[in-house]
Amino acid sequence: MAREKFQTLTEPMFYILLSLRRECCGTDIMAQVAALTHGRVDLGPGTLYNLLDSFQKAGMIRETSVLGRKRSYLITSKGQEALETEYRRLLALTEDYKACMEGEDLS
Amino acid sequence: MRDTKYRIETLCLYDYRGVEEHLSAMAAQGWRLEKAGNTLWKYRRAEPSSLRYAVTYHDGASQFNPGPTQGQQSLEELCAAAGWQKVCDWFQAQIFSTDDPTAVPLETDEALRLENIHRSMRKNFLPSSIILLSICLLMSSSFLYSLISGKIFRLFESNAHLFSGTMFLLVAVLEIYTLFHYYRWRKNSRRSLADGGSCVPLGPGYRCLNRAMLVLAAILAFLYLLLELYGGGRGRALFFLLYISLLVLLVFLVRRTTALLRRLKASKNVNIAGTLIVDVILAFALTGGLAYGIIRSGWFLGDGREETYEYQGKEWDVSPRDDLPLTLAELTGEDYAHVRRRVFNQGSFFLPQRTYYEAALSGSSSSVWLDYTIWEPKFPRLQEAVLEEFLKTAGYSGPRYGAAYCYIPESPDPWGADAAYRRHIDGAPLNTWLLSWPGRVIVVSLKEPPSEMQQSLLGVRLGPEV
Repeated sequence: MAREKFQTLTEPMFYILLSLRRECCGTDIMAQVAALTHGRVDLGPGTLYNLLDSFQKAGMIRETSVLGRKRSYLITSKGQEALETEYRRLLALTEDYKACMEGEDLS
Repeated sequence: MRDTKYRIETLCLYDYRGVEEHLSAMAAQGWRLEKAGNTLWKYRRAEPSSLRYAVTYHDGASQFNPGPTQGQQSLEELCAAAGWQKVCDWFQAQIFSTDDPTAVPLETDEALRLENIHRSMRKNFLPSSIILLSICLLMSSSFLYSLISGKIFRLFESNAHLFSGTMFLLVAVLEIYTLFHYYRWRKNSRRSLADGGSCVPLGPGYRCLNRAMLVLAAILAFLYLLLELYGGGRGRALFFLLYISLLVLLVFLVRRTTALLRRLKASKNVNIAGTLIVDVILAFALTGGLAYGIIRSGWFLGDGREETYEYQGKEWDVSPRDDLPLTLAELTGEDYAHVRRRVFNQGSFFLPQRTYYEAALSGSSSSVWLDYTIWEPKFPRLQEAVLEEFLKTAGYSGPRYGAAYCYIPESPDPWGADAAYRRHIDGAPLNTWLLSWPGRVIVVSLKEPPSEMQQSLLGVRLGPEV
């Protein structure tokens, strides 16, 4: 179920996993996503909470520390794998796009 | 000027847009939500402001938790970092507000929102709706059977039956619509998401229906009280009011118990068990106590409470009532030294039913009695239904257990009635007759068979006024 769910990643999913290469908490993730995307990707706190919960249940991230209400997470090898798969998928899309556009330019 | 006010809200749990818009409108009018109950919400007066409200869902939230779960606390932490302050919980719905117009919305992924809502609905809303629907269908089953099979006698035999049957049926219809409405909304939202849109708005339909049902229930309850008072059932009207008050008290005390256990930091399971135990004990104590009190006081044992005395091991009236259409003395022409009279006012507005009972004793002879019930159906189909109810055993040919009663037609002429039937048990006649006139049906029982003159007198006194 979870595997099927995360076969492709949405933009918020991609950036959350990307942010968790280094241990950080939810508020840090929101700040990092905003900085990485220059505010292009909105990440609501409700959405972030649910995604962190789903990633954790799917074994893609793990909780590293709990300080009061603050919880920190880190990506797991499974999460890293999902991130890389998504990266390769996006690359393939880019390559396909380039190939099509260059073909059109030559003709 | 009051600083708090309570409102009955008819919003549904998954109508997050409805809740957000309603609360923003209330804040603009100077009322901020403080606490959201099942349907009763508490608001506190504040400066009118353009406050934004947002709703997200947490399936781990429960009114039985000793406080916010770790998950809820993490959610609140994230929301606070994004500029949203927690207002309160409403079952699984988590209500937040902000005065920052640029704050990022709580939910930015509509597919996740829909999935999250469904998880929360499965936790509370859907099971409770299905349980309520089952209870209502069970409670209204005999009413529904009468309605479908056309056996309307049972339908109209009492105001209470008519009222409770209609109420349970109404709630069942509302619950069916509620479930249908949710699944249709979910289906439409999924379709909208597949097309790149968002969860579809709910519109005011459900809220209007919910409100209409509440108003209808209040009108029905008021009508029931009026009909009982009109039909002389003051005791039943009072009983209804007392019963409703006890139910309200029961709900209040059960909620207080949950709140107290929360304050005492009892775990969720302990709270549920404690609340359930208190609920059962209070339900028995309050409703059982009411029933016991009624039986002990003889509340429904006839109209009035006549003073009585005992003679030959039986109770007799000190001052017998004189509102019977026909007394034994009038019927037999004898004077009785000891008389006991009772009147039972039953039936419904559409089918008033009055039962009169008299026992009398003269000297050392054995007592005699007269018992008659008068029905006055308000429409011809109901008259047929009353007759059907009594005559149905006549054509019965299936297996019988115990004595078989039936009514066999007789000449109505001595009674001056339109139709007359005598009751028989296993073929032997009894001193019970069913008599019918347009708009009136009576069943009369006597100790001894009446003479022709007595039959005529019974017909004149108990039949309709010409």
